[in-house]
Amino acid sequence: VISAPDSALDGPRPDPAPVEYAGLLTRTIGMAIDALLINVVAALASGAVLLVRALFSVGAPRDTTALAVIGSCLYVIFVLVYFVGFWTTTGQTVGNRVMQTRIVAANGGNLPPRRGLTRMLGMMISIPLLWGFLPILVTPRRRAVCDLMARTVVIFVAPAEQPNDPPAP
Amino acid sequence: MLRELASAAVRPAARLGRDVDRRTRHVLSESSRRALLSSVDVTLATVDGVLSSEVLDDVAARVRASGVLERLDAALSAAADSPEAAKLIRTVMGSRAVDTAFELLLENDALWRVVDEVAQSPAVSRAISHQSVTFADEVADVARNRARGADDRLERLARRLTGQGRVRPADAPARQSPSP
Repeated sequence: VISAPDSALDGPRPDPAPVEYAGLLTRTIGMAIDALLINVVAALASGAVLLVRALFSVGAPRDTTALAVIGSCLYVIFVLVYFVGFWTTTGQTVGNRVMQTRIVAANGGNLPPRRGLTRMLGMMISIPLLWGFLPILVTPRRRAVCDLMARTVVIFVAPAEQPNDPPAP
Repeated sequence: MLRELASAAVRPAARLGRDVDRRTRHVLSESSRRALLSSVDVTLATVDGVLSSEVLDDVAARVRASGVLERLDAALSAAADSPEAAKLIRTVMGSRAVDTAFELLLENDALWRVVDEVAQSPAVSRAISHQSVTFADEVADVARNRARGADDRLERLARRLTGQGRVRPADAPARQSPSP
């Protein structure tokens, strides 16, 4: 457990519980669960759309470029809504919930939508060679580049602290 | 004409017969119903009287005082632990009768219908789903615990590689409230 004296931003508190920050592997597993879920949902939705389209398409096949562009845009929007929605409402995606972690603002509290979008941007630029996640290993509060950009931390939560039913974004 | 006269003469008699029959059935059914209820009432009252009396307490106390239960328990334990009992069980289980009984049981369609009914019952479905959730929770618990341990090991390795060593007090993270 990594712990330190009270932050000045929190104000006087009688006995704050020590906070444990989630490390690289825990966060990677949570991300993998989210990625799996997102891709399964996207694949099912794509399959349904293609089946319906096959019912109504008559004659020669049309150019599918426009369809691919629309699908890609919808996919990006879905990913954005999924992550930013969960981060800013419950602080937990499905992967976070399974791994019992939560994203909170560095000074405590929920994440505002704008900082959620900033964090998403930070995650996207961190993906090449996963360079943006390596700081988790060496920074004191196990923060990645996206955490530093959005001023967030990822902490472990006890099962009792988890919200019962996280609302869909 | 003759037929009409005959039927006019017989009709009141038939009506009277039906009426008598109905009344008799009613009286008999009412009597038998009352008799049944009375017998149930008497039985329950008797049982209630016996249970509320001190007779049962006396009987139980005497049985306890006589040590019959201890002797019975000791005798049963000795019989169950004896080599003869083991030999008897081996003989019975090794006999062809048991094999035949099991074969006949497995060939019985009624058994598989019962199994199907039980497997499709809501209670069993609920139990299986609860078991699945518990198993998933256990898997997630194991993954979480192992990941936490691996997090620490990875961090130590990274700090060793970067020459940072242990966490310096100045680098120590601020304690904060996890919830808003």
